[in-house]
Amino acid sequence: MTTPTVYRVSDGIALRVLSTDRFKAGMLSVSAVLPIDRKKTPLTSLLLSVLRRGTEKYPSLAEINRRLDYLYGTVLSIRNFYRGDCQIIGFSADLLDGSYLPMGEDLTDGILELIEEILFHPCLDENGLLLPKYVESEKQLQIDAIRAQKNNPRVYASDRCREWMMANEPSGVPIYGTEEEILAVSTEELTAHWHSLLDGISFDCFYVGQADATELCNALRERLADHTAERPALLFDKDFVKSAKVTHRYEEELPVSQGQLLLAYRTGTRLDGDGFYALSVMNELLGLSPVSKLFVNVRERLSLCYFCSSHYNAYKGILTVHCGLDPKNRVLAESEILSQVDAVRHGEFSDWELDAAKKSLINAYRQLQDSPVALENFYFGRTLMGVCTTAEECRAAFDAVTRSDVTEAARALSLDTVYFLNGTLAGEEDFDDGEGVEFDE
Amino acid sequence: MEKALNSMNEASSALLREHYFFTTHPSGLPIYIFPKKLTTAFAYFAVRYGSTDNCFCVSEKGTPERVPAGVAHFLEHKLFENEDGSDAFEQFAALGADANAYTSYNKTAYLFSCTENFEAALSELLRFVLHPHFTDASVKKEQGIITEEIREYDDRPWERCFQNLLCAMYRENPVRENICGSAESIRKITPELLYRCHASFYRPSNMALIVCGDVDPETVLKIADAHLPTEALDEPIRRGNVNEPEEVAKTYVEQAMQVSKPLFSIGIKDPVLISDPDARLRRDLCVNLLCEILFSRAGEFYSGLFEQGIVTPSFSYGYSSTETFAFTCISGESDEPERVLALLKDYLARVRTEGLDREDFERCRRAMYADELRAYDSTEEIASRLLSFVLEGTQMFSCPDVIQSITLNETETLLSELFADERFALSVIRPLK
Repeated sequence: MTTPTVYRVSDGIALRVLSTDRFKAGMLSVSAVLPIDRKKTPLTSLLLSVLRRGTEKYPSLAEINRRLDYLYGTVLSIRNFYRGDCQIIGFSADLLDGSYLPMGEDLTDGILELIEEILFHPCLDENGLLLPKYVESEKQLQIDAIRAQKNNPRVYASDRCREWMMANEPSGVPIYGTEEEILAVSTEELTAHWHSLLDGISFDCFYVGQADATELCNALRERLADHTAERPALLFDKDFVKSAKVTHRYEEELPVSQGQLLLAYRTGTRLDGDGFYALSVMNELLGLSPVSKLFVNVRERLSLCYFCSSHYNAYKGILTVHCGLDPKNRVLAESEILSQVDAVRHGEFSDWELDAAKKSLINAYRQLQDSPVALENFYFGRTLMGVCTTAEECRAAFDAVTRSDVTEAARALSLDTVYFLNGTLAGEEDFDDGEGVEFDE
Repeated sequence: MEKALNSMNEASSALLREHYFFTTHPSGLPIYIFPKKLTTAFAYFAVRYGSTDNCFCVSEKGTPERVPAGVAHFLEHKLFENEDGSDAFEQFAALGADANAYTSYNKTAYLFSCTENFEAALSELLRFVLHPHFTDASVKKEQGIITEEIREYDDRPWERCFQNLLCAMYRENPVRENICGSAESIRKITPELLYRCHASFYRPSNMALIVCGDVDPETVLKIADAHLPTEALDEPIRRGNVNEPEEVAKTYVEQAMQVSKPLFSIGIKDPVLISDPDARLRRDLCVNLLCEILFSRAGEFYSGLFEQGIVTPSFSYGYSSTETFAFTCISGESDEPERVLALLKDYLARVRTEGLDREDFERCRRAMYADELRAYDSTEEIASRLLSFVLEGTQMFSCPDVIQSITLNETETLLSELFADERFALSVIRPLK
């Protein structure tokens, strides 16, 4: 497997294809890249869900799902996430290869037909508005989803930390908006947003699998090209926040038993920067694997938590350390995390640790080629940032990272935000016997 | 290679265009090798010992001993520690391999994935799992870590909802207990107890080695020879009997937690426990197909509730069965969990009278069949599935054929048997006041 071949399907559609017969099910994604906007982004999230509710030909969710069952249970997922300061929207589908199906059916056009229906022919009322009952229902579901973020303290804490830290950057905008914003959306406004979003949209498509690229180009052209327009220049901003001048502290509480501590650093380096490889190795060594500094010291040596790990968001140039712990251990854990970061800055790690970090990354990048989803993610993210390196080149670059590259990457870290979610039920150990309050009927 | 393959059996599937080799090592260890031309090789070394095996003895006579909840999981954590104070993760890291482990109700699995140094990593896997080393200090330290792990699970409402449901459905079955145990139960764990459990269960005949990747079967057998005893221990492991009644222990349980909307899990206990593995697999696939017909997102029940705003898209369903427990579970979010249960019972009563729709049956069977094909694209998924089938004593490749052979009649018969009123339990997580 080499690098993806790029096809210009039409003025507004680019297709990247990795031809391979390694998989029984290939993967097709159709994405649009949008700038993040305080007002429009939550509307776009809502719009995607409303569109998925029903189309002219498949007027209900059940009909759409029945159609998918007939396409051999193909899973059509909505894509809606951030990459850096861009919102990525669209669809992805796993497509079984025809050679494994009883009649040799090709599922590609069936899925593209559904995508075309969902995007361009949703259910409308007699005034040409998106069906009000679907809009109202999805508004309520989106509000429910916003409220439900607190159900998972680990994810909630990580989202809150990001929102605080990036309050002045596009990606600080919550992707689903706030309850008040969603409650205020009218059917007219959402319908207008649908028109303006699709007017001159362009798509980045990605395919991994055995299908014939020319046929795929034809199918994409037939289904989607009428609606698209000339592709805009790369959206990714060359500029980004490289360091923190002061450290901000935020604290909230939830009635849960475990506390969540996050330390978020600006690294000065993104995927498109020269220091990306050193930073990745540094992140691995600090807190990604079971032999990393944080795992070995905060969890194993001091027994302070079940997890303590670091995550490098290479699209934003941010490294975050996250630890779930008994709130009474907060000060001790924070000081131990800081001292482990200092240790890396001062080169206090063995050659063995450096070597293990590099090997782990190289192993992970080799494994990419075993997963259509991982391949898509790898190449899509790089395309977005205008980076052309292959997975193989990345591995060579990781291997070449030196001890001083790593210490330099660690020295460039500046602590931007410390976020603590206090679990107010902590200390009430064995507060129930695992069954809660019970009633017999 | 010739020689090794000659001594091994082969299973193959023309439909899937896949095959695997298997044999039983003289030590009693079943070894399965699934060749797959992908970059990542995956290996599982697993033991038929999970959280529910908390009452056992290893002699013909004698009373089974009851051990504290969470021992199997504790043992899984502690096995990574070596005698010289290092831990097994370090050896894997030095090889560029990624190791992990997990404990479920009926198994403990140790695994690694790698893209190079497969042979050395496989040696390390066999070595560390068979060489326990526990001290008072290391056991004490682990209690702190696992207490935090338990706390983390305690904060996950879906997991609490499900665990509470098991407690409602089962009166005696140890599936009631949390896999990690409780902060209190794990305080009773000592090095001696861990050694005793290890010696009882971690014997090759009670384990399985599964490898999937672009690997040489002969090499796998050679590595096994180097680490395993040359003969099998035939002392039987006797597990304590569980006298579980057919009806549920409680019809309703609830707990208040940090959630925005109530969560529910409806469990329907299946008292029919089948010891013949093939018959159990067939029943499992039939009931799962029935669940697909009854509860899928393309079906009348879910879409009816969803369009009326009674449930949200967080909705799931399925049937699990083992030799010792079996149940159907339907979970979701709703402001009115009791109403969902009432509507479910009405719906089932109606379908029982009217019968299943032939078209729904065919559509769901087609989707389920296709899911079988999709399961062979990753060495991790293949190895993990193969492990489950091996420990259950069933043939993985038989699934597509079994699915194709299921009849509408068969699912209708199950529909009429499965959902008796006294087998329903409802578990609810309510928002805090």
